[in-house]
Amino acid sequence: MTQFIESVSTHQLLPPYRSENSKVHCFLFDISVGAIQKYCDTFLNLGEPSNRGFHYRPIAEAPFGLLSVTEYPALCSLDQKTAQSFGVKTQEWDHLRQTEFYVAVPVHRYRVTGGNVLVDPVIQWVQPIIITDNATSAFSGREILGLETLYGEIKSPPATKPGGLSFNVSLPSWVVFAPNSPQTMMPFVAINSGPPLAAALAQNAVNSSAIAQLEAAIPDLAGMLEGRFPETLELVILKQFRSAADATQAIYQALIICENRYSNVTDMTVYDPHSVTIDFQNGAMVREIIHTFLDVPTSTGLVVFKPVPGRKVGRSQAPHYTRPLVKMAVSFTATIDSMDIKTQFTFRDLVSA
Amino acid sequence: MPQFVQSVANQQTPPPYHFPGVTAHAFVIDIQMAAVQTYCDTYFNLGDERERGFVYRPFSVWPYALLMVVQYPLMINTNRTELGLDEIPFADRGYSSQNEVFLAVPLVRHGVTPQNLLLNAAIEWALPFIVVDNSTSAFSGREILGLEKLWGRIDLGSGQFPNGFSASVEIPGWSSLDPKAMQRMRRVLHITTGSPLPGVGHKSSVTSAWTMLESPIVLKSFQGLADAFDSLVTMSNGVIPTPMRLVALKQFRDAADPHRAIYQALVGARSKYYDIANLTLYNEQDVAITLDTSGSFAEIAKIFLPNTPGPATADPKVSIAAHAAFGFTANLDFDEMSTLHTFPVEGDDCASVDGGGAGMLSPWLRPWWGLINASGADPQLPNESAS
Repeated sequence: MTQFIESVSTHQLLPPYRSENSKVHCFLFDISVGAIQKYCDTFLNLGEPSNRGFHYRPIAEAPFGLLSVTEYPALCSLDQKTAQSFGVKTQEWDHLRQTEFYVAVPVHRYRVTGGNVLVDPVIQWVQPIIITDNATSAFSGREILGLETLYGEIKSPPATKPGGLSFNVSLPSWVVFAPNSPQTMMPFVAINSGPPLAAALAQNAVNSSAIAQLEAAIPDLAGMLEGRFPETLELVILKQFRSAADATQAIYQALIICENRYSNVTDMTVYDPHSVTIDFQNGAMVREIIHTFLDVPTSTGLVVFKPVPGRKVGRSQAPHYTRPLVKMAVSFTATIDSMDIKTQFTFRDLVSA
Repeated sequence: MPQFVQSVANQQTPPPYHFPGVTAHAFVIDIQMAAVQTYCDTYFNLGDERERGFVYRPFSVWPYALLMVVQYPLMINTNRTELGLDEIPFADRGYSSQNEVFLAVPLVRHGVTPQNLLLNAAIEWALPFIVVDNSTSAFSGREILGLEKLWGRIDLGSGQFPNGFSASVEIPGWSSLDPKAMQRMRRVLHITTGSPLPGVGHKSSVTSAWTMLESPIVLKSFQGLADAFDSLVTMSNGVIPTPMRLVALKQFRDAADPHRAIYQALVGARSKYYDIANLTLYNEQDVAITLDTSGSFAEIAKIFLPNTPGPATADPKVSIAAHAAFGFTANLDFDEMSTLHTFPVEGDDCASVDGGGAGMLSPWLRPWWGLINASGADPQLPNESAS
């Protein structure tokens, strides 16, 4: 084994991770099957299927994105070696706080047989967009797991409606792409909701098609939501690094899998999805992120997101911002473990330069 | 090597860069040669000496380091690589800005055999401690070049004295080794100067590092370097601060076992200062540099102050003496990125060999290498260590 050489700057949060009492806020919205397939082909299906032996596809019954804001009050590392290197015996190490914004999308991983037949579908999740407000977490997610974690600001201002949710996410980005355009901390997305629904109303407020979609991607959904047993969602991530000499080339490309286990689920709260607004702002970089990952056209003919009626329309005929139609909105508290991290497949010599 | 799957949203902006109008403040501080040798052996002299074919050592004739604070009002990416039909080249995306604080330590690298003793000889700078306040810069520096960039908050000001200078650096850290300690933003470094020395500020004739050395105070700071070279011209060509050739260990962790490396290589780049102007000198007696060595910052203290007792010290704030302090403005180019040497790593799932060899060539020999090397042989003799 070649030892990783620790230094001041590599003091990353090492997996596995645990965060108790995490507050999870989830919003479900539709994404087109074509957009998910494009993401799979760009980031997962590298090289020839017969060479790599697997193929990713959207789950036809679950073409959705799960937008989440998760507050981790005390995320920690369960890695033993780091603490031991400082002469400390402990199960948990390196506690930090963070809030994370991400969009997760379920996909099917098929095995490819000798006759190029796709068999044995397994559900995995991709995270095309992930933003954190903690730099240590961002470095760890990017450099260990390969997540494209962006560093930004995630704030929770007072909600406009009593008891509602309110989150503002900002990113260093550009309003327009031009040589004289300055990078600034720009709004990326604003999320607001009405107050929680009473139990009697909550059942009716949950969109039945949303439940069907979720159950297609999370077979044990009901048990998890009722806190009866934990649910494990398996992430798949393209981990890659650039060559220093030629930044268009990759020195390493692999698919990493990581199990996110939700347990001790409590405090389930349901919001009226019609009261939820998720507004992606209309900067150049924001448009590009949405276009790249969710295949939302940047000018006209929006497919997934709907323009807001009555908003200003710029010269490009783009809406002032784009707003997905939310089909379900819930919050709950849980213990989240990220564990069983493995290299599922290393791409070597599958793709010519 | 395969194509990197371009993802415009990943907050990387691959070099080269052009940084016009930077304002730099440099503080010459002691550094212990034994600590530098340990640093070289830990991060650069990996594996068997004969197999890798080179060795890094402290630049013993000048036992100092530069603690630098640099303001970049404009960071212009000059990378015009075509990214695809729908994507805009990095150079056309816009500019950014940042403040940066780093420690630069000069090293000597040379070959270990008679064949490559001089071919591989060079002076390079290691940057064992870097803080930037721009996350795009941090991600790019860490992931593309292997630079040890940390993200933090850097507040710059004029201190308590007219036209003086101050810098305060905060980074995320833990105040103790208590397993339950919560990470928070903590001040790790604080620098203040007095007012600039009279009569030497804004010297119009200072246009390069060479002319900057005409200042007796600056020259005195670098006298050891000057003695080691035939002339100041030679010195300014390779040592202070134009151009600085950087070296860094670029490495990545295995996802399943984060204590294992899947890639280790030495990466080089050039940081070239020019159009130097507005030289400002400070009395080194007026300079106060304070480093917090408590908690997780003890690791940083080991670089600056190898004899620091550790995190349990009664007064964790340690003063560092400056031998000279000066500021200047300049234009700065960052380019000539290369993989100097790829170390072999164990495992079938590890990264590709990323070139190497030609980058080890001495800068003085580089223009002539094509003429005298008709066979195209690798100058990094006798290393054939690519995995």
